[in-house]
Amino acid sequence: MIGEQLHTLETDVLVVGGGVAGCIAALAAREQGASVLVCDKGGRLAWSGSVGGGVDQFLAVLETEEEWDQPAYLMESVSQLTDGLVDLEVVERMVYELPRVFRRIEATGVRFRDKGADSYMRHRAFGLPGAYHVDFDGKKFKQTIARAVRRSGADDLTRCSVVDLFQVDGELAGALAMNIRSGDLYAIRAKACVLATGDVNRISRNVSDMPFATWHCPYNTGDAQAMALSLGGVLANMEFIEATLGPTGFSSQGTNALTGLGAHYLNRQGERFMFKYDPLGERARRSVLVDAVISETLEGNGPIYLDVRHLPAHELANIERTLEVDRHTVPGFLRQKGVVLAEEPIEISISEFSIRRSGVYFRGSGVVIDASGQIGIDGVYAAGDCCTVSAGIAGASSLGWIAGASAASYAKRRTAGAELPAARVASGRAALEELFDERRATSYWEFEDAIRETVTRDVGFRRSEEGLARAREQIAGLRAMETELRAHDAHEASRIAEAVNIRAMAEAMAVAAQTRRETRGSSHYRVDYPAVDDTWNQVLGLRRGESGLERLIGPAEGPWKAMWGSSPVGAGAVAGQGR
Amino acid sequence: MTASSDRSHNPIIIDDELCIRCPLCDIVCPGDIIIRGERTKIDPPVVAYPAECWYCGLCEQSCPTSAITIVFPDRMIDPPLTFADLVDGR
Repeated sequence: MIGEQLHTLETDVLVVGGGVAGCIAALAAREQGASVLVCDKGGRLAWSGSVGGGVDQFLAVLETEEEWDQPAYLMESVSQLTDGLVDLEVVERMVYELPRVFRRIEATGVRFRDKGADSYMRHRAFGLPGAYHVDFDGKKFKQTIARAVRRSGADDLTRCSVVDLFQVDGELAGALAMNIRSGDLYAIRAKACVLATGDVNRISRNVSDMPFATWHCPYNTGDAQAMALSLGGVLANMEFIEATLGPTGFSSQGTNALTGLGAHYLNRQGERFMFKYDPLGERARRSVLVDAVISETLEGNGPIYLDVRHLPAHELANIERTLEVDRHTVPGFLRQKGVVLAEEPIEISISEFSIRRSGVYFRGSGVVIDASGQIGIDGVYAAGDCCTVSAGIAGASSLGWIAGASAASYAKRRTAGAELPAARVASGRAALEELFDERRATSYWEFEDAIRETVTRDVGFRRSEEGLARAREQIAGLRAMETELRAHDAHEASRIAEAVNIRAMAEAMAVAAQTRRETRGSSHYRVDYPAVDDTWNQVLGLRRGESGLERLIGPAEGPWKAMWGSSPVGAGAVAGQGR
Repeated sequence: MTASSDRSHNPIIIDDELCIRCPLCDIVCPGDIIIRGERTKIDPPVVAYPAECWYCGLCEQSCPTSAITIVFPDRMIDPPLTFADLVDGR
């Protein structure tokens, strides 16, 4: 099943992940004259990644005459928005690059304006200090930028999963990739690479117990984060979870749009409870809404309902269309459930959680990068939701551009790339072949279910020392199960690779959550340390050490790259300890 | 019941009469779940890994003859758990 064919390829810049960040990185690298190869697990770049089905807004700083529409003005709010837990140097680079990247994307053919309109439709969202978000019909956003990637002369390798990255004498040599349908293998020689595989999903349970029916893309499983760890990179903010509100049973987008229209949040008693939590009521920031629904539910006031019956008739008439923009299948779900929004409140619930950006704009969880997008390893860059600065498709685009350009100029400086280590390619191939051994008896989903059960119970919405210690032990123990995982085809082999990465991310999350002995909103709620502790205004990094994950501490607002060369701290040296 | 014990539901219902055997659903599926029939002009697409569906609806949306309907399983329409169950570790 595996590697009946071994193809050899060569490129200056290898892009791992062909979502928005990866595609924009490819464009930037091509513009510098580098050869580019984009690998993606999806069938075509046009539909792959988190927004393959469409998107409807883009955070833009356009440098118009408005006072707020300048990078410097937006930067002034970032620290407060992120609770200080973001590398300001990286955010600044991302924000200052935004106007140029926005126009570059527009030049690919993306229409950010309605036909004939001379200005952009913009609105204020996510607690930002101005109307930065451009509303647009982005149904074909991904298709348009994917076409631009192809026109640029970049090559792509779709339905392919990168299973290993190789270094030789500290320099990137290339990668091994597998076609997830045919099992064909690709040994790819590369001088530089950009990791852009998105966030971490399938790591916790939802009320339907449907591990793939998730809010975010379930095929994003922390692949880049795991690769960064094995190369010696640092992950940060891994303790924080991100969840959303959706119609009960279907973790999905959509309720944001209803909330934006002015929906009321009601508890079981029919009370509009949001004002208990925020003077803005239902217009509070999304993370505040999620926190409030969690508290209200756990206090026994659930189920929670969204009520839109008071909205004007023309909005009610269009409500299906509104929901559909965010997630195509939501109207169909409501029809099957028999709910008519114009006539009755709809029950909502909290989704499973992911590791992405803890519901806070800019505050990403993942690979620590510097302002050039580099991850602390020569020739290796990262962008998008897999790294520590994250801001939707705008952040992915801007950081993607920066990382792609940096990778190309690094590749140019390297006259000859390293030869691929033949022994590593052979052992990578052998490891894949072993997955088909008949003596192996565990399916990837049983393995994942065990991870999700532990993570949901002990590393989830409510955390304690006891639970986290238990989880760490169980998640570490599950590692032994990895040698039992059995594939029947290449598709399953790629799911196994994902499952192994999910376990590594669960371990990182448990270690980080146990270390941060304080509470930061509902993204990290310690029942044994229920208050914010200012001594914890520090970032927590993780690096692979001789005996498991090493903990690193860095300055909250950066530069986080200071953690790259720093010495690990013992549990006892960590702030907040012993209180 | 855990998720692993219920992997049988097929969410992607393809109307054999309407399907024109084009490759679109296979191509657009982000999860490599739908596989074009072996004899491409004759056999309908196969939903090879139904339990791994994201319910994104790209296939339903892209199908040129509206041959695809997404059908949600009972456990999504009427979930077996509550949020409080998940927090308590049930």
